[in-house]
Amino acid sequence: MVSDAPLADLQRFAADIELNGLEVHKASVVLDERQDGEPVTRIALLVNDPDPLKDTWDFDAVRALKRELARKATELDLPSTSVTLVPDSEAELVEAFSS
Amino acid sequence: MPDYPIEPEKLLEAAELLAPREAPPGRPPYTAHRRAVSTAYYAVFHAITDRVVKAPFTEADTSFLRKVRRWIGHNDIRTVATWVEQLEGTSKGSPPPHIEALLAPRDGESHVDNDTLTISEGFLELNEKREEADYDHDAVFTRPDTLDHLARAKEIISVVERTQSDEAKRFFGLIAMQARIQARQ
Repeated sequence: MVSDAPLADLQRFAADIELNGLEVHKASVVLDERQDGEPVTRIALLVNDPDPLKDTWDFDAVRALKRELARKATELDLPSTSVTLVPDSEAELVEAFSS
Repeated sequence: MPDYPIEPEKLLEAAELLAPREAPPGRPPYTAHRRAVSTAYYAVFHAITDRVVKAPFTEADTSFLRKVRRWIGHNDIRTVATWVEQLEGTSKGSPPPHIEALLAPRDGESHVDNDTLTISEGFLELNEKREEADYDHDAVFTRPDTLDHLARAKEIISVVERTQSDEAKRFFGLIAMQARIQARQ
């Protein structure tokens, strides 16, 4: 059983990340399970839209962000992470970001 | 007889058709994004199985290799990739002691290099996303996130196909051993 404290810690940590043009504006962290019953930490991040001249964010920045979150989750003894990036322009897709 | 083998590059092309870089204005086709991510994952999966079977069966013909590739399961790769992530501190827990002693001996160098890390980390991410894409009704696949998954799949496949590092070869070898031959009835 995971308490709410590490989830809140991870959410605070995630909400402060800014890497090479990729800025997290809001974060949502919940504990869930995979289809096989294995626990997973689902992280949804509301971030800035990509540069209008590009289709997506800086590749290395996304990888570094996910690695930082995975490392922090491990430090907090949370299960493996799954990160979803939601640009500001698609915020309505995630309930936690829609208001 | 026509031959239509499963080719990682062709799967990636199919994924790119589902989530093209040039998109018309309006609401993105989110169902197509799900299929694109799932397809990109399978491109990675099949690229890895190709390298894995070629590790022990260096002289085998195509027909033999195709049959043996079918024996490698998603969880075989997942298990070995998770050991790597645990050693890197990006996944909870530790590998079994005998595996840890093999990959990260206390009195020697770690057998995890950047190529191995790129493959294991990327495989686990796309494996999870593929499951969300196919089964999780609440999962969200935004356009730029989907395109990032496709770029990640492309990078992993490129590393899987070109790497000659000893560490990556050990990684492929461990997957081959994890996917041991199952009894048939």
